[in-house]
Amino acid sequence: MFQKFFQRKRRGGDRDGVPCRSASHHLEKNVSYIEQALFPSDDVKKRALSFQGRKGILLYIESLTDQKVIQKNIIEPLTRNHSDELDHLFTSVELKRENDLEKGIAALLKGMCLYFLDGHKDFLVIGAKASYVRDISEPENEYVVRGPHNGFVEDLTHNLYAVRKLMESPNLRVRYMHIGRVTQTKVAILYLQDVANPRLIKEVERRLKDISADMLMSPGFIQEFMEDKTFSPFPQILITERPDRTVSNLMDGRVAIMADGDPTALIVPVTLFAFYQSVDDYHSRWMVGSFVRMIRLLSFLVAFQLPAFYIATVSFHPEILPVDLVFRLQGSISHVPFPPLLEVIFLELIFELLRESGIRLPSRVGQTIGIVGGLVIGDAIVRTGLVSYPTTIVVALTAIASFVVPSNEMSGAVRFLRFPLMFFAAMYGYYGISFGLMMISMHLCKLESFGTPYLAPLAPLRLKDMKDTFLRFPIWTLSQRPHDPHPKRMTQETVSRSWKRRDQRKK
Amino acid sequence: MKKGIAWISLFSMLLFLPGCWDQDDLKEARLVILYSMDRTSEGKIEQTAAIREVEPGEQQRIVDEIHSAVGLTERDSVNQLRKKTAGRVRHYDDLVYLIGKSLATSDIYPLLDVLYRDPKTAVYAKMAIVDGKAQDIFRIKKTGTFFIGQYLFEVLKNAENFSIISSPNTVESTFSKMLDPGKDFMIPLVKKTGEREVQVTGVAMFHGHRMTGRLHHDQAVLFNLLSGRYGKETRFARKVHPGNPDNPANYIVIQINRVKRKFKVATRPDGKVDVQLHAKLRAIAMEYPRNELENEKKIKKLNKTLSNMLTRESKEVIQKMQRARCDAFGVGRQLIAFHPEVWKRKKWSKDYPKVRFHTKVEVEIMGDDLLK
Repeated sequence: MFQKFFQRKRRGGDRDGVPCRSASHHLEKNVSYIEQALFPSDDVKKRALSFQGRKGILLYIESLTDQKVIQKNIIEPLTRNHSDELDHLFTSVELKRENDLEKGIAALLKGMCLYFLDGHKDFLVIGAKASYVRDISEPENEYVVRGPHNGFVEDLTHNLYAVRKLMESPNLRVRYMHIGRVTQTKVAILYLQDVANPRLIKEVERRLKDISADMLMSPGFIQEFMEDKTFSPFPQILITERPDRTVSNLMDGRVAIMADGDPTALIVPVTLFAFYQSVDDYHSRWMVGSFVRMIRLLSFLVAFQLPAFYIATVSFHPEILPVDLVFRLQGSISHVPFPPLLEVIFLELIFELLRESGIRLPSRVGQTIGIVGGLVIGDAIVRTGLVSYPTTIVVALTAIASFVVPSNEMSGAVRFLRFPLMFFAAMYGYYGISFGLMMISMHLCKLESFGTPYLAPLAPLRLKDMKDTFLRFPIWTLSQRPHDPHPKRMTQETVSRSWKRRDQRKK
Repeated sequence: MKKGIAWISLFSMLLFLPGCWDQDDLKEARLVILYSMDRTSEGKIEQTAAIREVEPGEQQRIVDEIHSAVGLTERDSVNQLRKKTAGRVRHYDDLVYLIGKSLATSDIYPLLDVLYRDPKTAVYAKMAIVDGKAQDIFRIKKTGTFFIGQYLFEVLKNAENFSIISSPNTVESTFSKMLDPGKDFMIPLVKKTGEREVQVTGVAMFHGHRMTGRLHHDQAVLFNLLSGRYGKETRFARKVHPGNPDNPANYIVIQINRVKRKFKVATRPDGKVDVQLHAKLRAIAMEYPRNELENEKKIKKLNKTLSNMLTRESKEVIQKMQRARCDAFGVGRQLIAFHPEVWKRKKWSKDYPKVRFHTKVEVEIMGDDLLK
């Protein structure tokens, strides 16, 4: 019912009515039309270049094009004039004849050059795109100990290069789309033709096509336009900046969505457990990997339940505490003037404040915040008796636990969830917590991500997929792909360790 | 939209209407750690409680505060006590529950009733009967670093380890035995023996709900071995060689590691009840200065001496129990289960002393400690 409230009326027929304007024979007319469309932008450059005696004009946007490329691929051939045919003259990779001036404007904005020749009804669109790319570095919020240390950058072609390089498969398909009425952001859909489910691909395309907004800011906008349920704290799309994580998800039969100008890949469909899998799990030994993953999943529970359990225990069920602990606890909390709920919320909010300011601040000032937050507030707040030591411990533990998740979105979800649970705990004790948890698990069971149940393989239960859910079995036992994206081919590994069997036979 | 409003109002009602009715704040609780009942000279019930206080701050100093109050019933005396104390007196962390002997000789169920009703009482508190006035024990206050509540708790725990009383000995475990018509129970008996000392002197035998006799602690150990329950450190010394009783060389200290027990209740057509009670104790010699254990013959002789001695003692224990009408073995329960028609004809408090016990204890020394 909330969705209805927020849903706006669709504007009909807006997208189909792209205006069309054919070019004319007159050179001046065409050029002035385009100039008017872009007026008054000073970075639109015009240069007269004649061809075989006929007048010609080259148009380009200075800031989007590479001057060297224009010089080498367009101006030089024109002045040398080797060929009679215009189409064979230019040495540029991208070359197209176009008739529609509106399309010409769009091409201009993508960093193409337009060459108009007097007396011709069409014009040439020549590629001379400039690309400025920052250094490739490891994504800061997805560090790993072992494995590749590169990440995506803000340039789509570069990112596709990174993916293609890890997966030299003819089955990798890249499909472009331009979304955003004004921004015309280039969006690429990546999938493996022989693994990904065609219905999934269709669904992704359908949802992307439906986006009719002026602007598209990836990943946030795409995520909210495409998600099944936006009224949920849980992210239903995995966002990653790692090419290796993207590739391994593509190999599972999932679809990746990447947009130009943004160093992230959005991966659908995902399950809750995908957020708790890190690339590191697969690079460490399987026992260690499983152990670390178990700890990570435990942290999921700790991160949003511990404060609630603390509140409920201290204010409703202190009798469950062992005798030695109860007096220690009582000694610390008896002088705090607030009820436990206020105390915990107070400290949690301080922590969120510190976290948020830590992100915004430059790293040099960040240390100061660490000292102010950790020492001054942490210690002074207890000494003045505003907050007790146990509360500090609980909040610190939950904070640590919430950052164990290798996904920033999930970490936010978990941090947010503990507040309603804390209220329930403060009102009804353990009963409240169990009701809260019941509601959360009901919500999780109902949640879907592009047709895949969010809690798979736990609900619906599929024991085979458990090999890579709570534990990370040895890789040679993971002979089948996970079932949740419904891949076309299930087998991903057969007998990689057959050499061992052969050895035994020899003996 | 209507549905949305309904949901929102439902949730806000759920959140704000209950008003934390179940709240039991640890901050405001005043926790009783040791707790006793005595009979005053006027016949009323006097309750004494040690309330633990923790001084706030980093040096969490512990202070035990002791209060007494007189009332008509258990809860009435609590109410009287609350008039004298600050904050909410709570009982969920009681460690030990003491009952004065003067109260134990009459029905103790009315004293315990309230503990079983209140869901938040410490049903795992250990129980003990005080030989004398329970209130006197509170004067110890502290023994070494242990406060009196903790000290008594540890002493009673040791009594369980030494098999003086079978584990668990808690308010909860007593309750089930108390309600069973075919079985009686025992509660350890403690006595203040020094300025800062309490000793478990034995056990109090109960019949029905009242104390009817007592067993010395050696006898209590034997009873527990006969009933097949023994603690981790069941050890005792016996004189196995004739001669000077002051010479340690005439003694052996054994530790029981395993008990195999046979317990059979049979009835005769004339209604007489026979109980076969055989206990086979496997023991190791903990202390035996004579050092003769490598000799097979000597061990056999030792086994025989000990077996005879313990059989004789067992018979005494059972006699004592029958005299006190304390059916702690649960002969009655066996009758109820397997011979209900016999049980119906019996008046157990009269007929139990007539039960014929055929007791036999066999000791088998398995080896030594560490050396040899």
